[in-house]
Formats: sequence, C-alpha cells, structure tokens
Amino acid sequence: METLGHDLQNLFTITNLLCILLGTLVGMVFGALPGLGTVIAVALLLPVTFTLPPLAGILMLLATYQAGEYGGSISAILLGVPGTPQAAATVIDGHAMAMNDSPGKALSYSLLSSSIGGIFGGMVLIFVSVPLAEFALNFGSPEYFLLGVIGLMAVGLLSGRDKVKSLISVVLGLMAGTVGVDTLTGVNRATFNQPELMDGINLVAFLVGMFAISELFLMISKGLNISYVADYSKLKTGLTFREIKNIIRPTTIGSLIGAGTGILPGIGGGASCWFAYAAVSKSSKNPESFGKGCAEGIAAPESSNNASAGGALVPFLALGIPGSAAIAIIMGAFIMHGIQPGPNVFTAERDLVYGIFYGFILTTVAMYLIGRMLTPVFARVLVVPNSFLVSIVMVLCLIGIYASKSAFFDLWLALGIGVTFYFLKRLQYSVSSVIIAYVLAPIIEENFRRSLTLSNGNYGVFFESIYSIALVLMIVGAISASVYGDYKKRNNRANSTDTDERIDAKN
Amino acid sequence: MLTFLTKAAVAGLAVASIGLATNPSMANAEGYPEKPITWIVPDGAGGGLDSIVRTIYPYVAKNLPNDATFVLKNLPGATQTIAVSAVYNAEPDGYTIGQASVAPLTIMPHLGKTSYAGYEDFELIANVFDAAHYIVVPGDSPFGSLEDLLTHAKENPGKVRVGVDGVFNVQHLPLLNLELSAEVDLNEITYKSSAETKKAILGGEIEAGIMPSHIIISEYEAGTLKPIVDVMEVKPDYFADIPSLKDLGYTPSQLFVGVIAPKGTPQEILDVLSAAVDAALQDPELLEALAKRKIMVNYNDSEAYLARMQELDVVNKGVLKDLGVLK
Repeated sequence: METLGHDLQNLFTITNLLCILLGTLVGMVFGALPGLGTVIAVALLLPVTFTLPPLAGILMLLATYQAGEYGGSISAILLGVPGTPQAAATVIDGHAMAMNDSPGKALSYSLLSSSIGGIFGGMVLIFVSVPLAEFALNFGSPEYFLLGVIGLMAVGLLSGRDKVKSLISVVLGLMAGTVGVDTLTGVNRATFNQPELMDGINLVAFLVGMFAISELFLMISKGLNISYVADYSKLKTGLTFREIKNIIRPTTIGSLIGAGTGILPGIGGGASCWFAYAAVSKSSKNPESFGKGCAEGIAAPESSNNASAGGALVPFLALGIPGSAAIAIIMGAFIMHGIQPGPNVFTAERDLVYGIFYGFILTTVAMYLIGRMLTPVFARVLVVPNSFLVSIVMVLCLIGIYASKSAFFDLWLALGIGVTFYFLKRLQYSVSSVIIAYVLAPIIEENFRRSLTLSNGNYGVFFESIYSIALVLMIVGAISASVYGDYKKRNNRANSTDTDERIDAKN
Repeated sequence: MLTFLTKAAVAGLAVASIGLATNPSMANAEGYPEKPITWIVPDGAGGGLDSIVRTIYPYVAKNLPNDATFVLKNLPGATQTIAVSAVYNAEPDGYTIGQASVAPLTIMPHLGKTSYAGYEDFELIANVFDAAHYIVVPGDSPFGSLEDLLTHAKENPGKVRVGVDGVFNVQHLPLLNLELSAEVDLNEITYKSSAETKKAILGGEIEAGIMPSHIIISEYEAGTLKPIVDVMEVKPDYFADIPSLKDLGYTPSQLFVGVIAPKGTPQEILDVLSAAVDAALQDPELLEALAKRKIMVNYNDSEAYLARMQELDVVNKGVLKDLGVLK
C-alpha cells in the first residue's frame, strides 16, 4: 500500500489534473463533432505534450482518447451521426430514444455506461495487463478471420424485416471494404486511378457521408422550419434508480466484450460496439424493443467502446504493439520522451506506468464529471431549429472530412456517398449493416488469405488451435440455432401471425 | 488611332505587369524567401514521419535568411506518392519542398503507380536521416544467425515464414533480393504494419520478420526478440555488433529520408535550402531531440543524396525485373 500512496502522490499534482481536464474537454468536443473524432484530437494535442513532464503529457492524451470515445456518442444520439466509428452502434437506439422519448435521458445512459466501461477497462489494465497481453498473442490470423465472420453474422441479428435488403447492404459494405491496393499482392482494386483511393475509401468520408450527409438531406426533405424537440421537459437528464438497474446487465456484457476485443490489436472499438450490441440484443428479455430506443441498446455499445480503450492499452504497454491509430499517436508521445513501451516498461518506468494506470481511472472520472456538466447543454442542440442545425452540421462535416487527410477528393466522395445513402435510407436499407460489413471486410479478407499463405494453402490452419476450434464451434452453433429457429417458426406460423422477424434470427 | 494606341499601351502594361509579377520568384536567391515555404509531409498529423519533420523544421527555418517561415502540409497515403506527386506538380519557385522516403522515388514509379517517372523528376536537396530494418526472430528461436535461417530454409523450401509490412516496399524488396542471391525460397507473409509483424512473431505465427530497429529495442533488452541481420546499409549504435547484409556479403538495401523539390527549382535556392538543412542537423539541441527518438541523422548533400538514390534505384529495378513485375 505504501507504493500505492507514493504513486498517488505523484498522480495528484495540479499539472496532471489540469492536463486531464484539458484532454477530456478537447476529446469530448472533437469526438462530438462529426468527422473530427479521437484521432485528430489526439494528434492536435500531441505537440503540446513535448513541453510537459511525461506523465502529464501521456495522461492528457489518454484523457482525450477516453473522452473522444464518449464524445462520439453525443452526436450519434442527438443527430444520428456518429462522431467516431466506435459510436456507430449507438445511433440505433440512442437516436431513437432522443427522438421518441428524451434526448437528456439517452445522453445520461450513454455517459453512465461509458464511465463504467472506462473504469472496467482501467481495472483490466491494472490487474491483468501482462497475462492478458500474452493471452492475446494466441489470437493469430486464423482466429482474427473467424472473429470477423462472427461479427458479420451479428449483422443478421441487427437487420430489419427485409432479409434481401439486409443482404444487399452487407454486400455493399463488403465491396466498399475491398477498394484500394490489395495488401497481399499490391494490385489496385476499384481505385479508378485515383491515388486517394489507394489506401481504401477514407473511413471518415465514408462514415460522415453515410450517416451525416444523408441525414442532412433527410432533414431538409422533411422541412427546415421545425426543430427536433419542442418540449423542454424532455431535456431532463436525471435517471431513476430503477432505470439504472436496467442497464446493469448490458453494461457488464458490453464492458467484458469491449475489454476482450480491445486487447486484440487491429480489431478495436469500431467492431467491439457491434459485438456488444449483438450480444446484448440477442440475450435480452425484450429483444423486440431494440432499435426503438431502448436503454440496453445504448448501454451495451457505449460501455464496450470505453472498455476497449482501456483494453487497447494492454498490448500497447505490455508488448509495444499499438492497436489503433489513436494509440499509435500516443505511442509517439512515449517515444518522444525517450520511453520504449514493451516488456521492460513495467520495471524501467515503474512510476510512470503505475501513474498511467491510476491516471487512466482518473480520466474516466473526469469524463463523467465533465460529461455530467455538459450533457444538459448538448441536449439543447435539438431545440435549435433545423434550418440552423443543418447548415452548422454541414460545415462541421466538411471541415472534419478535409481535416482527416487534406484531400478535396474526399469531400466529393462523401457527397456522393451521402446522396447514395439518402436514397438507400428512404428505401429502408440497413445503414448499420453496410458499416459493419465495411469495418469487417478487411479483417476477414486479409486474415483469411494470410492464414492460407501461412499454411501454404492448407485449410487445416483454421482448426489448429483450441481458440480457432472454439470460434468455429461458435459459428456452427449460431448457424444451426438460427436454422432450427427458422424451422420451428415455420411450423408455428399458423398459430402466430404477428411474430417479429428478429425472433427467428434470435434463436 | 488613338484607341489602337490605348489598346497597345494597355496590352503592353498588362504584359509588363505579368512579367514583373512572375519575375521575382524566378530570380536569384537574393531576397529568398519572401513568403512562407510549403513543406509537404507524406504522413498524417501525429504520425512517425510527421513528428520528425515537425521537430526539424523550426531549426531549418532558423538557418534560412530573411526570417523564413514554413507551412507544413500533411498529405498522407498511397506509399507517400500523393505527397510526392504534389511536389511534382508544384511550381519550381523554391516555395514548395517535400519530405520523401525512397519507396515513392525508387519503387512506386517502376510499378507504374505514379504520374512522375522517378527520382530524376525532382531536385534532391539533402538527405536527413537513415533507418535500419532488421530480420528479427523470437528470443527462443533456433536460428542464431542469418546463416542458420538460410540453411534451414534451403532444406525446407517455402517453410520458413518471414513477415514484412507490405508488398514491393522497402522491406519486401530486400527480402526478395536476398532470396534470389542466396537461392532460397522463403514464404513471405504480408502484414499491414510493423506492429502487426511484431505481434505475429511474438505469437509464434511466423519464424521471422523484418522490423525497424527502433521498435524492437525494448524486446531485445528483455530477450523476447532477437535481431539477426540488418537489411539496410546503415547501423544504429545500439545494435552495432549485429551484422548487416553487407557484412555477410549480400547486397544491402537502403532506407533514407530526405528533402526534395520540384524539377527546375533554381540552383541558388536549392543551395540555400541544402545549407540550412546541414546547419540545422548540426544543432546540438535538435540532435539531442532526435537521438532521444533513436533517429539516425545522416546528412547527405544533394550530390551524395543523388548518388545513393541512383545506386538504390538500380538495385530495386533489378529485383523488380528479376521478378517480372517491372512495367
């Protein structure tokens, strides 16, 4: 305990606390602005850290990272536009609740579950980071491929009533995910000789186009002289004890899934929120309420994306492997201070590492407090008449897209994607299916082909380790359960005419 | 008549003003620079190369006359060719320069993926730093040296798996070249980044991998990773006792990053810039900041920079020709 006291003394300095507050504010605001997101916020604050002591600088970036994960959900809930890819799953129920019920409550659910997820991620970091990092190494290319397949199967659970449209959405997303230079052969695929497409469709342009620009067109077509919320009582952010009790289960599942996927470098928050959403909606007592603004549907992805932030620090600190773009930038801050993340960091930089561990929990606390103060303000966004809101959001979107790669090409790309998705949305295609497929396409494809290269073409590589066998069994189990459920439903069709399609996917 | 004269006078004035407007920028380096110089960075904000350029540029500005300032422009993507193309398309007036590694200048043009033909289409100002990439094996690997690995690979063709962080790049080409000259067949496994390669080696998915020296220091000290050979020409001091391909009699590759300008930039301006980079790289304050980050500063003036580029281009072209991918 003596060392703990010592560490805490180092931690609670004015510089550290101010840095955490600054990082939290910047992260939350940048996360909430569509297109800007966590990576840009962290990159922006990176030069500031050069002049700071290592711990203060690193905590500032971690606070930014953590708060950005939550900030992305603010715009996802209020506008239906995820500020970060990790908040894409929050749109489904978060935006629905903000529209139908109460934007204030939706934000509170999101903040509470994000904070719990963040604390959980921090605990994982403190207590089991070294063994967990070594465990994560067991997941090689074959296991990543199988995980990707499981993620894609989750689409089936989220799809609307129309299976054909859902399938078309998945294929669109997978196709979009294959654009760019083929990583394994160097061949250009569907790049139309545009160098801007060589690294694939810019995720920011894709996300902003499909969620934000198409949504703006929808708002315009509904008329601009209205505002989303006219009744100020809906802005109340308080939650009752019963309401909090409701989200215990989804938050626990979300935190576990988030930390679990977070420790796998390269999968990260973008996929973990969907895993969590699918798992919670599949196991919920009221699966039919998902998609209509249910609290569980907010708590699951929200807790998972913040838990994955803590999880992502595990392989980074213990092995020196950054799992996401934001972590790679934070690694830059370490290196600039002459610190090499990796096996020795726990002994060579003991004070720093434990400062980071406890400081990470502190960033979550800061996120909760600042979020608590800001949510009522954010919720008021929806009182703004749409004529103002549309133009403000549009400008923010354009800035965000351009800031990501300084390419004008991406602006046109986002506009094209926005127009396409305006029509797809009006025709009731599932936008979330497209984005999951897009996020998972490279994970599935590259790891599948890499696995076969590793084994010189032998498919046995997918059954070699106990982890891959377990994943294969999960896939087989889910498929057979779904087929069996479908079969049973056909038999019962005469009895129940009003069954929700979700149920057949459910079991 | 009068109108004709007026028209002629107006036209004359117009031509003269155009001449006046464009002339100073084309002229000598006397007043250079009189406005901010754009420095194109082929990396996203916060990336590794971006942070290096951001560390260096104030020192270069300090050593330029006329209170010079720089504007950094990040153009990431497509193996740096987006940024290098932007340099190629810029006015050769000394107000646009760019940072570039060797891949966009000596590899990508031969794959037919660039609008420019090669390094010949640029003015090479100065080289700034070098990087070393090592073939790395796990700490408990049976291979203690490159010879061990190659002998095993000869007996088991296609069985030794070596990770690289992309195809036809600065890691892949030296590996292919080694296979050709040592007459072995390795199984090259492509990852997206060196971080992924590292994970794969530590996880036992591959027998070896190529990785930049600065990301394996901690693992080397802990004994979990073992670098066995440097595939580049320059060695960092912390791995001084590990042989390079050249030491073992193979053709080494090179990875160096310098500053380039559009073709046709006036020589006087190039000289001013080259001298400023040279002076900046002797500043002890900058050297300390770069040493902290394990950057191997290696200033080459434009002649030496060009000579190295020519040499590497011949090697890379040769490998690509042998493989039948040269376009």
